[in-house]
Amino acid sequence: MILAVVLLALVVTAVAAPAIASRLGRNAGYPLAVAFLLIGALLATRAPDVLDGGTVSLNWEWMPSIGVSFHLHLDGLSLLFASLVLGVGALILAYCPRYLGTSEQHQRLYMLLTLFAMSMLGLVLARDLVLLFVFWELTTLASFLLIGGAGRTAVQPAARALVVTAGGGLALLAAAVLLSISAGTTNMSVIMADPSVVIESPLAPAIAVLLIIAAITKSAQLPFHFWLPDAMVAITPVSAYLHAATLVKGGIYLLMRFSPTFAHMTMWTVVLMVIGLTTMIVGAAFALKQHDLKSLLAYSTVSQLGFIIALIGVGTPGALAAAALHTFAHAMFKATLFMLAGIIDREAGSRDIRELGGLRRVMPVTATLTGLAATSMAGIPPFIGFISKEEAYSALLETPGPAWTGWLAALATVAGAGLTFAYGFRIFYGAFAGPTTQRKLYEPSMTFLLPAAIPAALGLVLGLTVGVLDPLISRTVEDTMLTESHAKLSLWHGFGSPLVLSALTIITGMALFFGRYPVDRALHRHRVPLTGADAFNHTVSGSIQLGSWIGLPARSHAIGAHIAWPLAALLVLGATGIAMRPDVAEPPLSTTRPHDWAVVALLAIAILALCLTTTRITAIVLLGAVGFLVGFWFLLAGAPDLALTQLLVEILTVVVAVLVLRRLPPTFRRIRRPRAILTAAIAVAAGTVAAAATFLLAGRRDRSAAADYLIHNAKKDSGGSNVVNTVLVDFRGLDTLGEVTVLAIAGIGLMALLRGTAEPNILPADSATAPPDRLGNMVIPRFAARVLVPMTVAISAYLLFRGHYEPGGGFIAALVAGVAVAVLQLPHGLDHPPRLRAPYLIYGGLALAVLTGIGGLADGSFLRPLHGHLGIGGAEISMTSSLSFDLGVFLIVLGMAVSAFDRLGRGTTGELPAREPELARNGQGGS
Amino acid sequence: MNNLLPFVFALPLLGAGVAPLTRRSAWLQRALLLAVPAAVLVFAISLVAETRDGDVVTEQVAGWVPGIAIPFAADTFSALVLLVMAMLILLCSAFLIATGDERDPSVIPLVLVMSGGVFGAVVTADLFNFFVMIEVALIPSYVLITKSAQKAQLAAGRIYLMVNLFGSSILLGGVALVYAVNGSVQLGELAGAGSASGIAAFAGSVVLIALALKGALVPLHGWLPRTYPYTSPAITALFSGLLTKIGIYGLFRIVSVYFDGAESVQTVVLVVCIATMVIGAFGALGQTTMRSILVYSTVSQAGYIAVGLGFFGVTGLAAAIFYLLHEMIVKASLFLSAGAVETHHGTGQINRLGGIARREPLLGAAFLIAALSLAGIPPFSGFVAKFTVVRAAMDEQQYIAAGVAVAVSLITLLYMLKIWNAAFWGHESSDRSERVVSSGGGTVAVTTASQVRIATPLIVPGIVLALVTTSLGLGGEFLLSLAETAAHGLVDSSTYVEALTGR
Repeated sequence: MILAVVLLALVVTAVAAPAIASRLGRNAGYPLAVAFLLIGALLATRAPDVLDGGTVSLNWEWMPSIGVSFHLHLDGLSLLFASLVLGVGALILAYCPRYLGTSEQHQRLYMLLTLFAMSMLGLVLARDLVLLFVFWELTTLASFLLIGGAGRTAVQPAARALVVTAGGGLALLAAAVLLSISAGTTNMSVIMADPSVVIESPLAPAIAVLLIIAAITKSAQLPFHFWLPDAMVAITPVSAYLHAATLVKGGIYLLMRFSPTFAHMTMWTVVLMVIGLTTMIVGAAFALKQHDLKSLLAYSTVSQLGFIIALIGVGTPGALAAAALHTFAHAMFKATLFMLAGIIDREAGSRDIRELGGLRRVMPVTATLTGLAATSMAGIPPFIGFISKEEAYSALLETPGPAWTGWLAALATVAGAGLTFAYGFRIFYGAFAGPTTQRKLYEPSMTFLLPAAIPAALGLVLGLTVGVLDPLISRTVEDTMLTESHAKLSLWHGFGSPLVLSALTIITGMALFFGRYPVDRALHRHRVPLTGADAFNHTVSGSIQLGSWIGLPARSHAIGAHIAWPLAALLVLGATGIAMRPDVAEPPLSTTRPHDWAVVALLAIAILALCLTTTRITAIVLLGAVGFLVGFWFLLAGAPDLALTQLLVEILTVVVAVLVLRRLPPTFRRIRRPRAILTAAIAVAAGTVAAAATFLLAGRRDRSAAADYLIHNAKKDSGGSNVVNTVLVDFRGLDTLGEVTVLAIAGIGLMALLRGTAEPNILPADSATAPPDRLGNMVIPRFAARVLVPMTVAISAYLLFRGHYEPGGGFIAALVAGVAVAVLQLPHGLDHPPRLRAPYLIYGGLALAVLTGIGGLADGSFLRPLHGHLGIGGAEISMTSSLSFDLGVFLIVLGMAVSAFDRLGRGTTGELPAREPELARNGQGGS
Repeated sequence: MNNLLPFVFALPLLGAGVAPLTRRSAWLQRALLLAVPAAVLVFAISLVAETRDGDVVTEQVAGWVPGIAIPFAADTFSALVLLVMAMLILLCSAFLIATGDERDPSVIPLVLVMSGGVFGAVVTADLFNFFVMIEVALIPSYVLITKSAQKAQLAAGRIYLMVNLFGSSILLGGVALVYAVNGSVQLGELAGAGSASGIAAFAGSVVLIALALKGALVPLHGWLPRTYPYTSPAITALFSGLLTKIGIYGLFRIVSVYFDGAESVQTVVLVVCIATMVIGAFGALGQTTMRSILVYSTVSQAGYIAVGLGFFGVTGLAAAIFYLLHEMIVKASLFLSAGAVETHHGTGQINRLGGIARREPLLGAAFLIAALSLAGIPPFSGFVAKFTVVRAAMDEQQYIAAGVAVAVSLITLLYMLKIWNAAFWGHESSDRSERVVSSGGGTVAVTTASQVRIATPLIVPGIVLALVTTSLGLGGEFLLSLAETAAHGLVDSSTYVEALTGR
C-alpha cells in the first residue's frame, strides 16, 4: 500500500506543480524538494524492514484479460535506485530555483520533472513485466519532453533521444512478451523465483539479447551512445537529474534486475563485458577530447555506465556489489559536477574548460566542491569513487572463465579508469590551478551551492565511513544474485592486486594529464569518420527517401494505374483457381440453348465495335445496343421485370450520356498502339478469368432453397403474385431501400456538384425575340409532349399500382415517368428549369419509404408490410403498405432522373464552365 | 431491443429525408446532424451491454422466416464497431459544424446517409445486403470527395470514384459467385462454406479482394493516399474512420464466418498484412503534409489491425479487435487535430507550419497523445493494442509478424515525430506567418494566422478522442474483456450462426 501511496503522492505533486509554479515562479523548486524528501522519508520507513531481508509488495489487478497486474515490490535493489531517484531529485529541485531565470514560466518544467521522478520510481518498483515497460517508456517520454523543452535547437536531439531509447523500449517490449510466454506469467516475482524455467526455454538467448539492447540504448552504450551527449542541450538540472543520475541508470537497473536469470549465461557475460569495457574506454577518450564541461561530463557518463555494465556482465556477487556501489558513487559525483557546471556556466558565462582557469581565487567554494567531486570520479582515496573502483578491480580479476579474461578485463578497466583520472584531473586543475582568467566573478549564493555541496561532501564522508552502506549493498547483491551476501566495504583493502591496479591507474592518468598537449593533438588528429548522430540522420533521411519512392506509384493521375492493382489481384486469383483444376459438379440441367449463342454473337460484335470506334456518339449508341441486347437476353431467359428495367435504364442512360456528350469533344483521344495492345491483353485476360469463373461456378446446382421458398410462398406471405416485385419491396425491401438511397444520393450529388454550372440565359417571354429556327425545332417535341406525356404518365401510374402482381413496380414506373420527363424537359432544358423539383421528390420519397418501413413496427418489424382493407363507397379495396413503400421508391427514382436532366441539360454546349467553390459553399439548395 | 436494430440504418436515412425541413434554422440543422449519431451511439452502448456475455441480438428484417428475410445481427464485435463509429461520426459532425462545412445544404444528408450505410454494413448478416450497405456508404463519399476537393485536385475525386466503383463491381461479382456456388447470401447459411469446398473458397476470395481494396491493404492501397488527403479534413477523418474500416470489418466477418479461419486464408492474410505494415509506414515517412502522412499511416495500421486475422485464435482476434477500435479513435483524433491546424492555417505542409505546441498547448497535447498512442507508447490505448498484437503473434510463434510489428512501430514513431517536430515544435518564420485566413461567408480577411488562436470548437473533438485513447490505455481492461468476448464470437461463430438461422 505504501508503494502506491508514494507513487500517488508524486502524481499529486506533479499535478500540483504547475499551480505552485505559477504562484511561486522559479522558487517552486523548494516546496517540491520538500515534497520529495517527505515522500522519500515515507519510503524510508520501510527501509529497515527491507534491509533486514523483508520486502514490501502490492499487487492489484490491472488488465486481468491479458494477465497484467499493477504489481509493485520494494527490495534492496529497488531501494538503492529509489533513494537515488528521490534523493538526487530533491537536490535537483532545490537547485532549480537559483539556476532558472525569473523571466520564463516554469510550470511545465516542474511538472515534467516530478512526473519523471514518478515514472522512474515506478520503473524501479514495478514487479510486473508490462508495468515495468510502461514506466520505462514513461521515463523516455519525460526525457523527450524535457530535452525538447529547451528550445528549437533541442528539437532534433530530443527526437534522436526519443527514437533511440524508444527503439530500445521496443526491444524491452519484445523481451517482456517472450519472457511472459516462456514463463507463462508477467509476474516478475514468479519469473525470478525459478530462473531455470526461462533459462531453459529456447527463447532465452533472444530474451537476453533483447534485454541487453534495451539496456544499452537507455544507458547510452556504444553504438547507441550518441543521443546522450546530444541531450546536453537540455537545461542543466535536467542533464544532472535524468542524464547523469537516474534515467540513464535505467539500463543498469534492468540488467541488475534480470541478473538472477541471466548472470550465468556465457553470452550475457561476454556481450555485456565487451560492450561495457569498449564503451568505457571510448567514452573516456571522447570525454578527454571535450572542452565543453557538459559534453565532457556526458561522455564521462557514457564511459562510467559502460564500466558498471561490464561489472554486471561479470555476474559474480562481488561484481554486482561493486556495480551497485559504483552506481551510487557515480550518482553522487556526477550530479555534483553537473550542478557545478551549471553554476559555473551561470556565473562565468562559459562552460569551456579552457576559459575556466584559477577559479579558486574568485569562487573558492565552487572550486573546492568541483575538486571534491572530480577527485571522487578520478578514483582517488579516500573518496567513495576510489572504493567502488577497488571493489571493481577485485571483482574483475575473478571473472568466470580462464584467468586471462579477468586480467584482460582489469587492464582494459585500468585504461578506461586512467582516462577518467586524466579528465577528472583536468576538471580539478581547471578549477584550481592556472591563472585566473576571469577576475570579476563572485561566489554564488549559498542557496545555489548547497544542493551541489551535499552530494560532494557525501562522496567524501561515505568514502570514510563506507561501512554504513554494507546492508544496502548486501541486500542488493542478494536480490540480484539470489545468494547470501555479506558485503564488507572498507577504505583500506590491504595490499593486493586491486591496489596495484589502482596505482597503475593513477600513473596512467598522471601520464595522460602531464602529456596532455601531445595527447590532445593525437586525439584531435583522428576525426571520427561517422558520428552516431550522423549515422542516425543518414538512416532517417534514407528511410524518408525510400518512403517517397514507395509512394511514387500511388501518385499517378491515371486511373489505369490504380485499377491495375485490384485487376492484377483478380487475375492472380483466377489463374490460381483455374490452375488448381477445381472439382465442379455437372449442371443439373443444360444451361445453353441455341438462341443464346445468337445473342452472344451479337453482343460480341457490338462490344468489338464499341472498342474500335473513335467517336463518342457511336460509342454511346453501341453501349446502348449492348444494354438492349442484354435486356433482350433477360427476356429470353424469362425475366420480364429484369428486361423491362434493363431496357428503361438503357434508354435513360443514353439520354443522359448524350447530354454529357455535348460538353465533350466528339472523338476520343488517340491511344498509342503499344498501350492499346497492352490494355487489350489485360482486358482479354480479365474477360477470360471472368468467363471461366462464371462457367465453373454458376449454374451447377439445383435451385436454391430461398428461391424455392419464394416461388411457393411469395403470394401467401406477401399477397403479391409477382415474385420479383415481392422480393424487391417485401422480402428484400431493405436492399431496395438501400439501392434507392444510392439513387437518391446520386440525384442530390448531381444537384450539389453541378450547382456551379452556368445558369441558362432565360429567354424573354416574348417569343418574337427567340431565334426562329429554334422555335421551329420545338414544334415536334412540343407536340410529342402534349400527346406522349399524359400517356406515359398514365402508363407509369398503372405500372406502379400493378407492380405487386404483374411486371412493373415503383422502379420501373419511375423510369417510364423519367422518359416522360425527358421528353418534356429536353426541348425546354436549355431555357427553363424543370417544373418538377428534384429535391422534393428525392427527400420526400426517402422519408416516405423510411416512414412506411417504420410503420411495419406495428406488425413487429421494420419494413414489415401492413395489409388492410379500405372501404370506398361500399367497395372493399385490399391495400398493402408495400404500395406506399413502392411510391417512395418511385419518387426517388423519378427525382434522380429529373435532377439528371435538369443539371446535365443546362447550359450552353460550349466549354465546361469552371466550378466555383465559393458559390457551392454559400449556394442555396434546390435550383 | 432487436426490432430497433434496423434503425441504425433507418434513422440516419430518415434524418436525411427530413433534412430539407430544417433548412430554415441553422440550429435545427446542427441538432439533426448531431442527434442522429448521438442516438445511434446510445443505442450502440445498450447493444454492447446486451451482447457483452457473447449473446447475439438478431432481427429478421420485415419479419420473414430466417433464410428469406435479410437478417440484422449484432454480436459483441459489431456492437463495439458500431459504438466507435457512432462516436466518430458524432465528433466529426461537431468538427464539420466548427469548420462551417455543414452550411452547405447537401452535406448533412450526405453525412447522414453515409453513416446509415456504415451502420447497416456493421449489423447486416446478409452478404448482398452488405454490398448494398457499402454502396449506400460510398455514394455520399463520391459526392463529398468531389465537392470538397480543390479545383486542381478533381483528379483525386475521379480516381476515388473509379477505383471504388471498380471495387464495388468486384464485390458484387464476388457476392454473385458466392450465391451461384452456395445458393444463399445469408451469412448464417454460408457458415464454413469457404473452408468446405474449393470453389466456394474461390468465390469468397473474390469478395476478400474487394474488401481488401476497400480496406486499402497492400498492394491494393495506392488509391487511398492518392485520394483521401484531398478532401476537407473532417471528411478525411470520416472516410478513414468509417469507409476503410468497413472493408476491414467485412474481412473479419467473412474470414471468420465464411472461411471459418481457413489455414490458407490465414497465410495470405499474414503475408499481406506484413507487407501493409511496412509499405504503409515507409510511405508515411516519405510524405510532406500532415494528412498524407496520416493517410499512409492508415494503410500501415490496417496491416496491424488485420494481422491478428492471420493467426486466427482468441488472443489474435481479441488483439485485432482492440487494435481496430483503438486505431479508429486515434486516427480520427489525429485527423481532427491536423484538420484544426489546417483549417486555421490554410496549409497542411509540415514545413510551412511551426510552433503550434507553444501557441496551442491543448491542441499540442492532444496531438502528441494521439501520436504516441499510434506509435504504441504507454500509457495510451495504442500500447495495449500493440502489446496484445505482438503477444498474440509470439504466442502463435509468428515471430516474423511480431518482429515486423515491433520494428514498424519505430517507423511509426518517426513519421509522427516528423509532423511533431516540424509543425508543433519547429520554427515559425516570419514570412510564413502572414497567411490568409478565410472566414465563412466568402469574405477573405488577411490576418496573421499565428496571432489568432484556433477556435475552441475546432480543437475539442480531437481532444475528446485523445482523452478516450488515454482512458482506454489506463483502463484497458474494460475494452480488452469486451474484445475477448467479441473474439470468442468470431473464432467460434456458432452462436452467431444459430441466431441467424434460427436453428
